[in-house]
Amino acid sequence: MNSFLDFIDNDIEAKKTLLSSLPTNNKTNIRKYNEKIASIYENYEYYKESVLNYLKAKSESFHCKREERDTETLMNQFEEYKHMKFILNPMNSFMEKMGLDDLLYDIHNYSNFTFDEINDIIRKLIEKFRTCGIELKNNDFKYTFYVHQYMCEYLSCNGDYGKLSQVFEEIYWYNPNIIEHIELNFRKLIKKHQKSFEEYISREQKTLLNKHNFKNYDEFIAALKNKYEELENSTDEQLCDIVEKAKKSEIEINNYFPDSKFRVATYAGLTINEIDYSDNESINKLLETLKRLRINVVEYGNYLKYIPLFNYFKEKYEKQESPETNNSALKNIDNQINTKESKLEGINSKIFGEKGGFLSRKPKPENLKNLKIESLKIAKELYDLYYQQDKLKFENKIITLKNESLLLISDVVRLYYSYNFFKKETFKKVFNLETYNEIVDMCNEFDDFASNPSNIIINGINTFEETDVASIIANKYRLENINLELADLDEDSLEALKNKIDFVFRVNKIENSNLSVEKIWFIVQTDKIVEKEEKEKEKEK
Amino acid sequence: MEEGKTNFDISNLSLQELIKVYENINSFLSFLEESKLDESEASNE
Repeated sequence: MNSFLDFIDNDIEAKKTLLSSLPTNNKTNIRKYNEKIASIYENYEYYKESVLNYLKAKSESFHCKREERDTETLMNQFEEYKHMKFILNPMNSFMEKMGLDDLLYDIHNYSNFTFDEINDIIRKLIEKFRTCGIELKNNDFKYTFYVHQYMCEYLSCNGDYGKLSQVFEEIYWYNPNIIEHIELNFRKLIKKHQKSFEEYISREQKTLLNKHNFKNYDEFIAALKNKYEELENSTDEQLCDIVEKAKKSEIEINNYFPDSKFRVATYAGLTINEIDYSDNESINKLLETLKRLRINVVEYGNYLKYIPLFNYFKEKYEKQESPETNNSALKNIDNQINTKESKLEGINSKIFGEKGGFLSRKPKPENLKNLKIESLKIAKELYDLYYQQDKLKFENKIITLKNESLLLISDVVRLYYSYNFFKKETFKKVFNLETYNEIVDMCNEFDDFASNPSNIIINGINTFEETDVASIIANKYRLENINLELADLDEDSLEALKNKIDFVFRVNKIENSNLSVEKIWFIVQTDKIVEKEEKEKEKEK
Repeated sequence: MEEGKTNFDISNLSLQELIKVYENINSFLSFLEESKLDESEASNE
């Protein structure tokens, strides 16, 4: 007997022949026939159990130990660096760094929120002032009579927003724009305390740079890039991840055998000129190139995803006003805001009876009513003016960037990354987003892309010129002997391209490990067998 | 008649052969299950 496999094959054949020769023409013969089957069955159950135990032991002997990596620490450090980038960002102002623009967007779009959520946005705004040492009081909220009435109640409710519903109900029917006016009040307070906010941010920036011993922003950005690479390497797929994926059928391990058609075809189509896969130097060079290509493919995929945004930007800002015209428009708006706010303050003083002498008297009821109506009218005008002012400031930033140098896609990405208010507004419009959560999710995804330090393609694309980015990438890698066709860079083909690269990396990882494709195949087969056996045992119970 | 169990050593089998042995045994066990006959339906003669 050559082996137990031969024995089993021969014995099974012999047993089948024996069984087929047994008479089964009456009860006695059938009984004897069944007894024979039972006897053979018992032996084969024993064989099966023994083989199964051996399979399990053998499979366990190939145990793949997970490499210990302190990914969590790296992740926390990278998150801290991302926060630093947010605070140190040279493109935006204290408004964005304090997260005030985000909260103003929320309150500006109050129809997305419930009453309690609106009150919570107000709480967060007050908290921002408190962070900078400014404790807002009743007297800070005098934008209109109604704002004062509501905010006095708000500041005394100690977070119990249920207590506010009655006063809100009373105010709302006189002044349905009350929330807009609360927003205006905050905008005015932000303007008033601008210096405190800027000083706070400046202190924060210094503290963060000192804490990590960075001399300046550029030095920090270089460290951020290194940290990102460290994190990427630490989350790199491990051998045991490959085994787990094979077990879960997320990858087909049969494709990884050297003679598999899939593997042969993948490798044959990978390079323009054949390389020597037995030569370590050639393989390492190929892997290094593929690693860069994979990073570029991910970035390119993101670029394609946000093309509608870049097209919108191009269309809207290609022919912009001159800096002078924009500055003059901004100055004009500033003046209008100041004039109207002074006028509103005057009316409010009369309503609140604040000035001494003759004017300290409370106005007569009919005059009071007219003053309140007048104040609401001015507030409405101011609401529009503040929005115009924000828009002009944003456009001013774009004009400045355009004047400094060529406006690259990376600048547009940085711009939207830096201005949450306009990012949310623009994304809603460009991508036809309907719900607030859709907007937030897409903006968060965009921020991940924008803050990825490995982005390189977008640094070379002029926003206002037609550029064939796919050709640029394909040409670059064809120069490095990678058989990259334009079709590989179609949006729908990118996933396949990434999978092809991952396949090569996996093969390399397996072949440089103490496992082999065959061992992983065996682990997978055993795992399936054990799972099936356990299910059958469960059924028998 | 009792069937004798064979002592065996499978440590010399390749990984593919090991899986094959298990599959052959398992498939034969299913064959045996299906080959059983119902005694009650047969005649006494």
